[in-house]
This record gives sequence, structure tokens and C-alpha cells, in this order.
Amino acid sequence: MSFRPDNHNENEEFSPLFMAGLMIRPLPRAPLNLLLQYTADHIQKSHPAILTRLEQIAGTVFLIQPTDFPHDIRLTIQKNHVSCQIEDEFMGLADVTICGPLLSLMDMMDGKLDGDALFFSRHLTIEGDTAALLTLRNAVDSDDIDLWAEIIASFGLLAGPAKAVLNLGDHLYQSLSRNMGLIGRAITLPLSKRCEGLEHDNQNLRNRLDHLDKMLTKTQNRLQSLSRKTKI
Amino acid sequence: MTKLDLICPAGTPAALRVAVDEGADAVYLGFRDETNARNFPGLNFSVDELAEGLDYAHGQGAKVLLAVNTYAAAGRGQPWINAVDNAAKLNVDAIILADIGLLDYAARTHPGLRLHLSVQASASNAAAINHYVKEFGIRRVVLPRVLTLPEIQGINQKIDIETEVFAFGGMCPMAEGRCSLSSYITGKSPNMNGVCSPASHVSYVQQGQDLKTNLADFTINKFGPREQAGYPTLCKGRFTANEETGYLFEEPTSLNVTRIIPELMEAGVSALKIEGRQRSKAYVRQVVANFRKAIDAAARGERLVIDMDNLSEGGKNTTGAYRKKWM
Ligand code: SF4
Repeated sequence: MSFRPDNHNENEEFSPLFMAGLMIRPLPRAPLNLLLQYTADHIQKSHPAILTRLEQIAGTVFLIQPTDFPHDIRLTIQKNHVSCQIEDEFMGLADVTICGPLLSLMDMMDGKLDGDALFFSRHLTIEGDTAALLTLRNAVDSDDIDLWAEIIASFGLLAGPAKAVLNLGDHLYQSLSRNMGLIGRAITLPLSKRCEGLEHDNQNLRNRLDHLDKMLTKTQNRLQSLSRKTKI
Repeated sequence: MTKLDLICPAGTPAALRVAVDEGADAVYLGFRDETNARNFPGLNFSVDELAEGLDYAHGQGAKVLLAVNTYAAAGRGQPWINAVDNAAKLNVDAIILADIGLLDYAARTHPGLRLHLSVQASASNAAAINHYVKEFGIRRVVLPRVLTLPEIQGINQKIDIETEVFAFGGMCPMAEGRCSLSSYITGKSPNMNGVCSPASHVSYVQQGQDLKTNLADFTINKFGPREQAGYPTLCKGRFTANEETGYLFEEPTSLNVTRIIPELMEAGVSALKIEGRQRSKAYVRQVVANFRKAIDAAARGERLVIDMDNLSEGGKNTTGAYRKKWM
């Protein structure tokens, strides 16, 4: 399962995920938090070596700010455990803040995208403790995590139906991704047409002002030469 | 001309598996300590992980080279000795060393162990290389990234061992093993601590649309909103002098030799090395797969140029000193 268009959307914030986010926003946080923590627990159980690599940054708090998702996610590294929760009004100071499109962040975790490449191309911004971030990245990258399989497995007995729902979601996502550009343009076209019109009017006004400016300079010059002649 | 060996980086066990699956002839890796020149947090292998990696690679016909390529610290050389002993115990296919004391120890204590001379030794002429051959019996030398194609050819005509050259990844424009820029402002260098511009001293600051990259609280570069970013290494810093701002040594860019593989074969090179043990397995997957294709094409007498600008620092590639001499 990929949940990701073949090509990254130019305007990544206007993605199917962004639309889904609008629907997710009013949902209660408790089930989302449960899902996040179950997934995190499942990953820790099936990839214990990752925890060993994370030991040296125990106590570090990461704040993940997806640019196209309505919630921030707080990741706290503890000794032998990682907690993962939704965090919208984080009052404390995060040691590291990571900001980027959610799907890119997930693909990075899945080992499909290179984090440095995302950073070079400015799709990812990071602030704070760089060494802690590198430790997290290297630890997660050190084993083969299939994120979608982990999410499905975290549903336990409901894994079967969850897989069906996620497959349907993937199908919807793929077709929405294909149509998103079209939808985006349909929404923004009238606005950009209006902007183009305004720019055109602006240019006309600038041209007329330039013309008036030149006329004024000419008139001033003529007046000056006339006044000189009268004095003579 | 024999086919080139593809030597690939593995910072983690998962990257090792990816490299082998994508067609690496050999992977190189290091232990999780200061004995190797990529001593980054969360990276590298424990002894057990190396044993598992060896099983996996050998099972698929690939070799494993262990890099113990920093210089042993004065008065506390035990971690380096342990690394060499573990390499011999686990039967790695070769060990990559730079320190002459360690080369001597390895050659005397483990005569069956194949020795490669690390780029960190900075052996850039035939006389130096032949000295390492005579004294320690090295079988391959990794050449510094400062040599031109004719210089490499000249060296190969005067030595009897294999040469390995860098093919892709981060550029180190200074003579390797001799750059102290990083230690001037962080106190840590690749030669002694295994890190250039260590992450503990790096910070990124977003200023509106601009990105400031700092090393030990010095601003090394500032990238505008649409500019591709790079790491804050001093050699690729943008500095202002005499009211002019620009790159002093090198701009953020990465090496890519796919367009000159036939010339490298002509120059007598035996192996191409991909840099990047500190990069992700996604990087390893893409670069190894592309180089596998390019090397196989070169063996058939074809030239396959593959751009991988998306993976490169600054979004740019160069053939580096192989075609240009800037020092
Ligand atoms: S400062 Fe530049 S040249 Fe020096 S070791 Fe670091 S990357 Fe290489």
C-alpha cells in the first residue's frame, strides 16, 4: 500500500490528505491517540533493536508538525519506550521540531524517501537538537518498518476490517490524487484570473502615471524656459 | 579491462540488505564507535549485527569490508585493536585501515586478513602506496578525491595493487585525512573522532522563508526560499569578504561519475565507491541500483549517464577533480 501519488503534488498543502484532514479535525482525539500509541507499541515490539539505538536520546521530545494535517504529533523517547500522541496545544519546549508533508514524513519512516534529499529540496524543515534528530532517523532506518502493515496490525482482532477500510482509503486517495490538480485549478482559476486582471489594470495605471510624469517634466521645463525669456 | 566492483555504503543492517539486494559487489561498514570515520549517533553496527550482515551478504555472493579508518587515540588504542581483532574473528572480506600502527598490528597479528588502505591515509602518489604495499602488504588503495584522471592512470601504471575511487556522494574538496577545518570550530574532526561537522554542533534556523545553517553558532550559509540547501560544512560555507558574498572553497554539490565510467576503467581503476553511510536506505537503494546499471552498461561498452540531482547536496552534481583541478 502506498497512499502516495507517483509524483509529489506541486502544491502539497492542497492534497487529498489536506481534504481528509478537514474531516478528521472535528473527530474526538482519544481514538486517534489510541491508534497512534498502538502503532508505536507494535513497532517497538517487532523491532526491539530500534529501541537500543534510541537509548542515548532518552528524554528527548520531538514535535512533528505535518503541513497538511490538522494535528501535531508529539513523540517522547523514554528509556525502553516511545510514546506517541496528538499534541495541538503543546506548551512545553520540544527538543526537535520537524515540519513537512505528512505523506513524505511517513515515506521517510517507511524507507521509501531519503530525509536528506527532502531537506535539500526544502520540503522538510527541522529545528532544534540535530544530533537527536539524526539518532531518531538512523534508528528508524536501521530496520525494515512497513508502516501500513504496522498500523493494520495495531488494530489487533479488527486488523481484517481495518485493512479493507485502509485499502478503500488507498483506492480513494489514488483517484483523488489524480483529480486533485483538476479540483485545485477549478477552485483557484477564477481567483488567478481575477489576479491577472488586476495585474493588467495595475500595469495600465503604471503606464499612465509614467506618461503623466513625463508630461509634467516637459511642462516644467517649458515653464522654466518661458520665465527665463520673460526676465530677459 | 575488467569489470568494476561496486562498493556500497551500509550505515545500518537494513541499508546493508538493501545494498546487497540492489546488486552491490561489496558493502563497507563500521562499528558503532569512534573507530570509523562515520561515527554518527544511531548509526553503524554492533559485533552481532556485523556477524548477521556477513551471513546475509555472503549468502548472496557479496563481500563485506570493515572500515576502521580513524587514527587510534594516543594512550587509549584498545577500541581500535578490538575492532581489528573482531574483523579477523568474524572473517570479514577486508579491513579498511589508515593508521600505520594499526596496519602494522593487523599485518603481524592476522596475516590472513586482507588489508585496504583507507582514503583517510591520503596516499596520493605511487611512492607512498608502494611503501604501504611493501611494509604491510595492502591489496587495495582508496584514492583521495583530489586526483585527476591522468594522475590516477599514472599511479596505476606504477603500482601492482587495486585502486578504488569515489563515485558518488558528498565531496571532500580538501586532501582527505588532512583537513582540520571541522576541528577549528567544533574541536572534532573526521580523522580523530570520525565526524566532520558533528550533528551535536549543527543547528538549522528558519528565518521566514530563508534557512540559516549554523555550525558551533557560526552561520555557515543562508539559503533563499527557492534555493536547494546543503550541510553546514566549512568547506562549503558561503562567506562575505570585501563586500562580496560567495563560496570560498566549494559550493554545495555531490560527486557523480556515471558519465566518466569508461574513462575510469581506462585509467585502470578496479572499484567504484559510493559515499554515504550516514544516508538513508532510500538513498542506498536508488544510488546502488543506478550504479549497478551504469557499471553493467560500461562493461558492455556503453555509457549510461544517470542524474541523481534529487539526492545531492545543493541539488547539483559534479565529476569533481577527475576532470578539474582546483588546487
Ligand atoms: S570540512 Fe569539508 S573538506 Fe574538510 S573534512 Fe569536512 S567535508 Fe571534507
